Amino acid sequence: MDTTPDYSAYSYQELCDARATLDEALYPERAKQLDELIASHAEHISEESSQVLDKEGTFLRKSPVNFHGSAKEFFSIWIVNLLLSIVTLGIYSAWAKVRTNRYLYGNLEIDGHRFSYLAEPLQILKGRIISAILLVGYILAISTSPIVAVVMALAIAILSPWLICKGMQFGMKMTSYRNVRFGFTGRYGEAFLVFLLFPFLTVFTLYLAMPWALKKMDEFILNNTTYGDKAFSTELSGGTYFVAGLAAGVVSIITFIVGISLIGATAVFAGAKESAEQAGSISVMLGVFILYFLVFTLASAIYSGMIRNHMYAQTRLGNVATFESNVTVGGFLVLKITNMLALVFSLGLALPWVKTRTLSYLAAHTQVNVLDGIDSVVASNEQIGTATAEEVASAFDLDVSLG
Amino acid sequence: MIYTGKLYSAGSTVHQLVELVLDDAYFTLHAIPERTVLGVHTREAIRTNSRVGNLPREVALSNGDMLSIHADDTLHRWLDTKAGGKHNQRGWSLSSLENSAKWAIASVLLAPLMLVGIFKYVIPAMAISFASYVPYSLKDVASRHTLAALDRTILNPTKLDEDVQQRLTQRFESVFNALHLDHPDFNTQFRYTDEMGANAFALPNGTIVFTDQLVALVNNNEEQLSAILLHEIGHVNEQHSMRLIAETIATTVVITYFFGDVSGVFETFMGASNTLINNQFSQKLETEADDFALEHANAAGLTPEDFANALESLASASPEESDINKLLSSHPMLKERIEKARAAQSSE
Repeated sequence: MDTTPDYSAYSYQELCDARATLDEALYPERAKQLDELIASHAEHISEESSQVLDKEGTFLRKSPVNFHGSAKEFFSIWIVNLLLSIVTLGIYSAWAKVRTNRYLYGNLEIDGHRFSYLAEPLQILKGRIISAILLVGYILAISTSPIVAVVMALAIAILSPWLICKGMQFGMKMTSYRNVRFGFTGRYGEAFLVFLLFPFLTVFTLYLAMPWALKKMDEFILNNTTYGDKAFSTELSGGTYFVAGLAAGVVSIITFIVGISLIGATAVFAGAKESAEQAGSISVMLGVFILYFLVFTLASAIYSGMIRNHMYAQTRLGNVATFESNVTVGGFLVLKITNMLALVFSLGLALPWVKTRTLSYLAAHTQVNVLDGIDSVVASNEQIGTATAEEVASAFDLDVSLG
Repeated sequence: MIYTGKLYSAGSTVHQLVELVLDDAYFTLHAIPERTVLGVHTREAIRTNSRVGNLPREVALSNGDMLSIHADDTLHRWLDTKAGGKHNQRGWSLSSLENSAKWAIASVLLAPLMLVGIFKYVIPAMAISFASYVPYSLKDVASRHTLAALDRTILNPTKLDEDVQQRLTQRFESVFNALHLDHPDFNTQFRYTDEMGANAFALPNGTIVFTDQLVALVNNNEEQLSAILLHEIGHVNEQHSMRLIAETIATTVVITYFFGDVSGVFETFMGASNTLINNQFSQKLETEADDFALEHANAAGLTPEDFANALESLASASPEESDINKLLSSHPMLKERIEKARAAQSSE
């Protein structure tokens, strides 16, 4: 009966646990295998420092964030689930969502414990059916009459903060770590200010106040996120957001001007040969399209690279944990551009690879300082939100995320 | 068999390392390292979620505790066997499909094929039956609102001479009458526009609008304008507006739910692919409207050649096409449409 377990999928902490509890006399082979794996892992783990953090909570240890998913395994899961979704005309997509999320969440590990995605497919399916009906009604209504379209757009705008809050609530409640769920306590009033009013008001500052509005959004999300009975708290600096926004803006504008002049010059050159005029206008279109992607990728890499590090450094989870992020703008840029190229040239088939490598990259550049409150987090009973709100929010493109 | 795992207490982050000893109908959990027995759990009393990839299994115990454990095939099979059920010898499960190279390869081949099938056959067929359910009153309201909105924005009153308008309207009436359509109220209108250029379009209630620029482009040629009218009647008669709306909705829903979970970078591509797919739908409807015009040309006292001439007039006013238009345009290529009309003419 001695089949050796497959230790290759174990995390460092799990390996240590397994080694500590193994009856060596009974399973010498396993002990040897475990020792080797632990030794190979240990090289990657930085020494723990024993600093004591002020405020509340004593520093226990520094933990890396590990993502154990592999592109190969995830590809197979994704493509089979995609096929099943297509064959069932979309019904199975609810199961597909749960299984792919379970794979991604379950492979994310901090301090020896993994995350879990807890949503049930039937909840998601119900949400999808309702949101599909709403989407159909919406598109029908807006194609029926421009007046109805305006009314509908207003109605959705007014509803959107509620949808965002309920959707976030559901998403957080379906995420758990160490058998304790996350939660979201954001309410309509503040969400209305943060997601609708502030961004709208920045128009009058010619969008110069946009970084401030984005900061407010991030603060709203973080300060309303909970883990069990503990709440995340953050205080972000407007200055960092302005610098990030400015850097992203300036680089975008320069790239755009250089790109457009290059395209213009090429088009004039091509236009010299008259027969090539038509071919010229199409390559101009293509060129502008590529330039748009480039500028967009560049701006988002610069902005999120700078903001992510700041956000992690400024955020703490009560006496449970503090966070560190050390992504670089260059690293982000290479990641995003290669992702984009891979998607284009694989006609989308590289998606699982893009997902897993992005998670691996982010995990590798994130550390968690575990504090001594970690063992005393108690589950709380906030509201769960609804899968319907989450599905409607994503069908109407109201997904929000940090940074 | 003995396995090690983590036991999480209900409702808190407290956990301990445990050893699971598996028996036929139950397993026993022992604390580590004390080896005291923590509990005996039968199949009936536990709930477990399905296996995904290489993840540890999560087992919900009857007291609310949660066990997370790396399983081997034996434990997987034990957990996947229903309480009181037979031992799941073959170990068939979703996870075995997902882990099978054969299924992955089959999916890579079949998924795109079936997607093409859905977009090419299922959605258009659904759109046709959807369009037949839309009541006339709704189409009428939609058409009036749309025309009113266009009049307020890009359309202006016609600058054509009264007698030209009258002559053309009479000719158009005779085309409507010759076709014996059971449609309630076909009518034609003229508008001046800087934005749309030489163009004609049909609203689903049977209102067909010609721009002054189109009338000028064909030098008031009644035959060419009537041929274009036939094409527009084709759109109305076969409910193309409603079909296109239905196809747009279905495409949006399909793309959102098949690929929506993987949003982010992908979203821009989804927008682009949505446009490409809708262009294909639109081109197919244009071809159908062309076919309608060619089929009914004789009944309306015209020839396919009139339609070919009308298209040639349009071609003379538009930039030359290249193959990329097949992807980026909502209309089929003019030169192909002209060739088709000429072929219809010569087969008469």
